[in-house]
Amino acid sequence: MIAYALKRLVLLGFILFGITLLTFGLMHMAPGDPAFTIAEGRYGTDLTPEQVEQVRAEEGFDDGWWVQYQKWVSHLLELDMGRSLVTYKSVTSEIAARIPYTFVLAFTASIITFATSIPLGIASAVRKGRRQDVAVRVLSLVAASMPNFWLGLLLIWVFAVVLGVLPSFGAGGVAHLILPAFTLGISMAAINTRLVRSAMIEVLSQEYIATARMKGLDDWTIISRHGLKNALLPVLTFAGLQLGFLLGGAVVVETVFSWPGIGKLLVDSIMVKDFSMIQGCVLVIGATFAIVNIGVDLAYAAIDPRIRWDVDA
Amino acid sequence: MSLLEVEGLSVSFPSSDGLVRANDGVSFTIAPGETFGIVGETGCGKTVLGRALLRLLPDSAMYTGRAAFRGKDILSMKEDELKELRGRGIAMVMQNPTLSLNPLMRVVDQVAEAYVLQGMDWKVARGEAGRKLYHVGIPRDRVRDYPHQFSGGMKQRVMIAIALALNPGLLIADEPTKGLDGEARENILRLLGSIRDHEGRGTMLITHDLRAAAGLCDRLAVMYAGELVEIGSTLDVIGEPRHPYTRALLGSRPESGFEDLPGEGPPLTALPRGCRFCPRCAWRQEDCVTGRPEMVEAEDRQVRCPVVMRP
Repeated sequence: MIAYALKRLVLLGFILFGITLLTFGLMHMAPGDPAFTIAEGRYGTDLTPEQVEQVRAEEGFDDGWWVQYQKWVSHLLELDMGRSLVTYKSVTSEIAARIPYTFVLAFTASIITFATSIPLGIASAVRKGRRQDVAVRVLSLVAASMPNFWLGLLLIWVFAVVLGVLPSFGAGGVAHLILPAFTLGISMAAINTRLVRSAMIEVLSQEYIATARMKGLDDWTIISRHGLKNALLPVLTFAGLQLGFLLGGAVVVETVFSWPGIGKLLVDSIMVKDFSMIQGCVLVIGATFAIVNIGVDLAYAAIDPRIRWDVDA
Repeated sequence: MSLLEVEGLSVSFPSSDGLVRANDGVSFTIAPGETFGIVGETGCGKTVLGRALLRLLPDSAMYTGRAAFRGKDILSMKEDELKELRGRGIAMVMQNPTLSLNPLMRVVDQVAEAYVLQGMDWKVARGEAGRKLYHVGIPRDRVRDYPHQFSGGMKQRVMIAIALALNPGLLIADEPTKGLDGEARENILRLLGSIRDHEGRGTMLITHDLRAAAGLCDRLAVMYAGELVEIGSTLDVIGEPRHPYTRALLGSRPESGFEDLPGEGPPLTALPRGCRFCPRCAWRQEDCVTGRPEMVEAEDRQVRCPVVMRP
């Protein structure tokens, strides 16, 4: 297990290196001239070509890409991602201020997702083809088909406009968290319920479940002790991807609810062509995604002994 | 009193190819302490019979006839009665141990679960499970391993340990040697021989392996296309087979020089009207294709063939 974990961590190192290269490369290939943007900030919109050239030389934009990359990475290692081209605030501290919001939203939405999709998926699988199953399948299909922004607006209309019980935007107490968390939670739960259901149906047809029944175990023990862990294995991959997306900032939902997470920061930075902020956001989002998925790999190994041994051997 | 009494048991399922008549008019008894063998080719309905006795078949299975364990009819049991029957009443060594063990659970826990069902707490149950696994030949330092770390033969031992730990009145072993190579097969047969309980527990051995059945069973039943065609003591059936199918089966054993039985059994969805073995039979008569032959009983032997039983 330890050997397996170490191998994953080494792999993570390579992935993170790749992410820095890609982020850096993409920003340099992107249309638009950062020197121009910076010069605009300094000297106003009435620019001379000389002013732009001066900025280009000062910021080192004339150096080869490899030199620029090295400089960028060495700053990165000191957690310095430069300054915003627009507000001149430190990118690192700006992102650090947004991360807690994104994390709180991601974890709340995940809890809502699992608390609903696992019991509903199991209940549906056990009563396959009966009324409860049909109801769950129809509901989950409807919820899964709703785009996030529309579901978010629907919830705002019902709970903020009509009922007036919850705030419609911004961050503050727990009340502000409820609508965005449920918007994300409901749509993910819809997909997860269907995944849990099909995984459980598959598991319940396995021979080891027949063995469990042969022993004379009751249905609850069969499902919880022999079924659930096996059924969650295929669900885990997808849940990892979902958590990765959430932690990388649920861009649409954060925007709809003006939730000050990293997704909202990214969208706002794109609007004003704040290259260094975009670069920082993309980097952090990419790294978070990679780390979450390595975490999923480790969780797999912790649950499934076959993975541990295959790799150790 | 018999431990198990099966009387005219028929089991069928709907399928896309029509009704599968997996068992048809099956009758036999097993006495306490007896080892009873069901022998037949793959696909003849032996496994369905074993699973029917535990009601482990899909809900779509339809049963007629009677199957009573210790006098209680299995076919009419409700869920809570079935829970009593399974494990403590009848336990089964499932076919294919690789698929039949939970891949995410340590083998010791899969055995210990049987003791927990009998009221032990987990700690004591694991101790008992370790002893039971040792008893069937799993070294003590392997009990905390997972199923994928064992060979096919070792997994079969774990399966046997589970069935024994349930302390059943009747032990059904479903193809316990299938898929095992020579030595593992011999070891499993030896183990099955050593755990026979001549006083109390009955054993039902389901196998296509006539030699294995001959070595372990007191009595044998031969199954063909869902029905039993010959029942008798092992000595009689092996020493002097009467039904043409039994003779053919014995002829296709290696020591008889592999005289292969031509053709294959009929599909269980489209059974011939007359004798089911007729198309492959060397003793075939004209009237064999018309009526379904009844079991004829003579001298402790039952044979479903009027031709060979004619005086």
